[in-house]
Amino acid sequence: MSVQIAAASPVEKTSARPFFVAGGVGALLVACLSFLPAARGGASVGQDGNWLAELVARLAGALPVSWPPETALMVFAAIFMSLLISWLYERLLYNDWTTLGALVFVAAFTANAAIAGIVASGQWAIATMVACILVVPGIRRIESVGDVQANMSFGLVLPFLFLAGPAMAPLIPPLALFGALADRDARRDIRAFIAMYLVAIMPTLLVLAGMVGMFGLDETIRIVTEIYVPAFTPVPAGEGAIHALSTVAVYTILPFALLIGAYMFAVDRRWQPVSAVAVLALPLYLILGARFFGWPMAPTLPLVAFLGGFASWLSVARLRPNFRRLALALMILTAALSWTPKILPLLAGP
Amino acid sequence: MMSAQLAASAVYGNENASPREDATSPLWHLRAAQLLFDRGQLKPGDFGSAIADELAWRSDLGAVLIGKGLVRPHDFYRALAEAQELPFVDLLKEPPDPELFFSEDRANYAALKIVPWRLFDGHWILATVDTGAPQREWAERRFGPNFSFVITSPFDIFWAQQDHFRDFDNLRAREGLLEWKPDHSAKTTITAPQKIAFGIAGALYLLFLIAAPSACMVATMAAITILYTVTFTFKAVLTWLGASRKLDMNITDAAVAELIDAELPVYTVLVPMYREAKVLPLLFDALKKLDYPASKLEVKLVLEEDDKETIDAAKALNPPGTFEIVRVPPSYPKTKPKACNYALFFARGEFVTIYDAEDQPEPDQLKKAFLAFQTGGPELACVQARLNYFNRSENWLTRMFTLEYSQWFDFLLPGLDKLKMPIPFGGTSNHFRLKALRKVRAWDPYNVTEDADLGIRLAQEGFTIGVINSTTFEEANGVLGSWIKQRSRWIKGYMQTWLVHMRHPIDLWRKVGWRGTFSFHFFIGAPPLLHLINPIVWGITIAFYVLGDGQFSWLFPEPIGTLATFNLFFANLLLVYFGIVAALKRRYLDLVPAGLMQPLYWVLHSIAAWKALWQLIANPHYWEKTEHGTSAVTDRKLETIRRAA
Repeated sequence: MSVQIAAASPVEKTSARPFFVAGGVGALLVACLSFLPAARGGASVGQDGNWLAELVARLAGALPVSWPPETALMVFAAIFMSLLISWLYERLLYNDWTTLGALVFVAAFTANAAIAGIVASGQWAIATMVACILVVPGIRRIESVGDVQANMSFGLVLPFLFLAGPAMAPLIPPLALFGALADRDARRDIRAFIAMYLVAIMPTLLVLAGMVGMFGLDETIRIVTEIYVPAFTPVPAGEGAIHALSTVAVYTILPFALLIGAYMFAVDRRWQPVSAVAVLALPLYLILGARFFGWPMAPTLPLVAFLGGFASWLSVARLRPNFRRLALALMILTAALSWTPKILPLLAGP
Repeated sequence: MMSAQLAASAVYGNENASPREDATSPLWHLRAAQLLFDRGQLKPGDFGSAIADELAWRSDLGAVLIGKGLVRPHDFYRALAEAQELPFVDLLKEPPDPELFFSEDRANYAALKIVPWRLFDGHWILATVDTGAPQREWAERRFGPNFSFVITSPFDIFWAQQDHFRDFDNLRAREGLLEWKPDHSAKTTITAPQKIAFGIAGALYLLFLIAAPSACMVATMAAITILYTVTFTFKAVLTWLGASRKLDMNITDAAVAELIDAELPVYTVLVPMYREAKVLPLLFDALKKLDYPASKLEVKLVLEEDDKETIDAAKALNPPGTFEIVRVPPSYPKTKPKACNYALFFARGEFVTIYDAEDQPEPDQLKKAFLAFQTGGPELACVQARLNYFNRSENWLTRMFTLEYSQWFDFLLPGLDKLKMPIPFGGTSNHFRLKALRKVRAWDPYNVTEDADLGIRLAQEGFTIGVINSTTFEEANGVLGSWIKQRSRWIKGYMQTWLVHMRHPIDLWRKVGWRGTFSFHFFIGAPPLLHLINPIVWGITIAFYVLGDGQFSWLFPEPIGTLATFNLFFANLLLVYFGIVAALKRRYLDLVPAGLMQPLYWVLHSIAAWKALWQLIANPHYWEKTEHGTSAVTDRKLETIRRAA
């Protein structure tokens, strides 16, 4: 029996249908379990940091079907996207979007060539997208609510950056720093800071400890030193790759800077700047990484990371009507641009 | 001789003795107060403030004067008798005629504060504290027109009832639930059908083990692994749900401030104690700080008859007139629930709560509980306040205990509440609607975690249970031996509770639904079992790694092996994390690093669990008393109170 006092509780909306929560938790559990058999056997899971691809391949292997890994990835991507779109639609309605507006938005989101591409080709850039989808609301919740659930959620999403691969993993310590500094006491008291930093970083450390337990210390060190560390050895990127990345970003991501920029100046009680900036910063970080460290990255990746982060930001931020209209227009514009002869070949890759 | 004169005076001596006189209680109380004032027994300022409180609280002036400790109860009721021109009787000196008591009137005696005193020429003389309409109507119904009143004090009425109904109440306190619903009583630990069922299951398992030892072992490990996974997942979900700030704000300070004292009901506070004289000043101090009209607070110090030391200490502290000492007659089982059941016969409040001797409830707790009942609907039978510790940093054990309690009361119980699942209560600070509590025959005296059991029984009777955002601070048990004793009792009680409610599992499912059944099994049933099997699993794990994969890997075929690995490395580590996070709500940030040592704490649980199992078999109803007052923090608090006094 929930004891609710009228004076204490404003009218509440249902934030998420239990189906999505249960489905999400179930999918996560299955995904986690699916990669463990190989891990226990000391196989080369995550040899290139593609943990998610490994997970999906293992999951498919456990099914009574004989799909090739590419097909399994495609099916996984399709299911994932379906759930994401349903969830996004639901959340948009929750955040005061009209039914028509929400429908058009998810249609434009789905129609983006990059989204269609990762589903059709089973590109596993989806792992990066998952990380961005989780991190942005995590930051927003720390900013807006700042309760223990927010601290927990934030801490628990950080390991997904590790699982997203070597490129995203270095974001963990600074984000944990943000998580700690978001706490008022932690900004004033070093002991509180240490405690809050531990709370943020600990799930990632637990994942690493779990890896040591499963793979052994030597194998864990090998994974970290041979996969994660080399990713940050400066290697000049090819001109062509940088040109492709830049072109896609300028046409499909940069226009959204207009919205984020306008949002930064529209201060109200729901104004939470860090998560808004993170939406743009995450793809920018990937592009810079590709520029300076030569990460082999398809032009789709920053766009997918952006779309994931942006969609999840809209799912948690209640925007003013004008901003909603602008977001809708930009999403339609980006979807349209993604199919133009200038962008589509770059997204499709060589 | 004296009583005959008093009796005659009561019948013939004055007009006010007439049962049909329509005298209003406030007027008599005012006259009595005036008499006390005239005699200098009541100071002018106190008189004025008491009248103001009488109006604000809408209480009898007498109750206000006594509740605030401005006059002694005996003095006031003597004055009241004088004002009403009725005789005053001291029931200790002139006890009631025992032949005149009727056991079927037991509840009315307590509720109306009235007892038959003498039968004189066919005329009933009733001793009471109030000659108002309820007393008159009841007397008329019971005895017809031939009755009259004498005045006595509430303490005398209370004493007379205790004296006369001692054995009667004691029997009902022990066997009330057993008589009402034998299958809900833990008097018998395992019933005959359960023995047969367990026997058959054990035999089948043995046959399976003999016929196919490998398959049997694999199946056993599979069952254990799944049990671990489900329990972990459930705990994770509850922790995550309970972490939301929304659940901490269900009753705001503003809502409490808006409460009108006049609308508050009488609240009974039960404080069961045994050999806890030392911490009594702490309790008195905490109860005095409660933000509740003193005239509407009824405190029962529930003490064992043989505990002279605590009884004397309580008397020496000169408690206010609203405090009463309930002496529980010695009988088996000597448990806290039996003592509380006994005390409940004297309770008059609309609501009742329980505190332990060293408890420090937040002052607004009773008001928050009342608000919860106001808004929770008539089916809301109980709300549980949060428990935490005031000596958390004393040593490693108190740190672990505080983390555990923080997780339990700040995360898991609110999580259960959010999911609308039955809540096993904590030992104290549970607030009941007295009617509902009596309907289910209160606590099971044979169950050593009567609180957890009561939560399940209330749910089965169609009542609901909630949690409130008010905390009672207690003393964490920081002495290892004492901790093991306390914990083994708790685990034994959970075992008892599970066995009791598994007598009719289908019936349980019908009454509490799938959610209730699930939480019953995985919140009450599974933890003791897991504490028991943990050492075995740890042993297998160590052997697995020491001897190499080949030796034991056959025990964990896929996908069980995967699940077991998940439990070992991720579930356990995440459980540590959840335990650490538990410190955040209360900003106990100093406990965060200490939380990393929780696995050692789990080892202690397993030691306690094996002790509990042994006791369940050998001495199921034995109550391992928790020692209070062992903390240096408690000593410092007591010293502060002493100095202030």
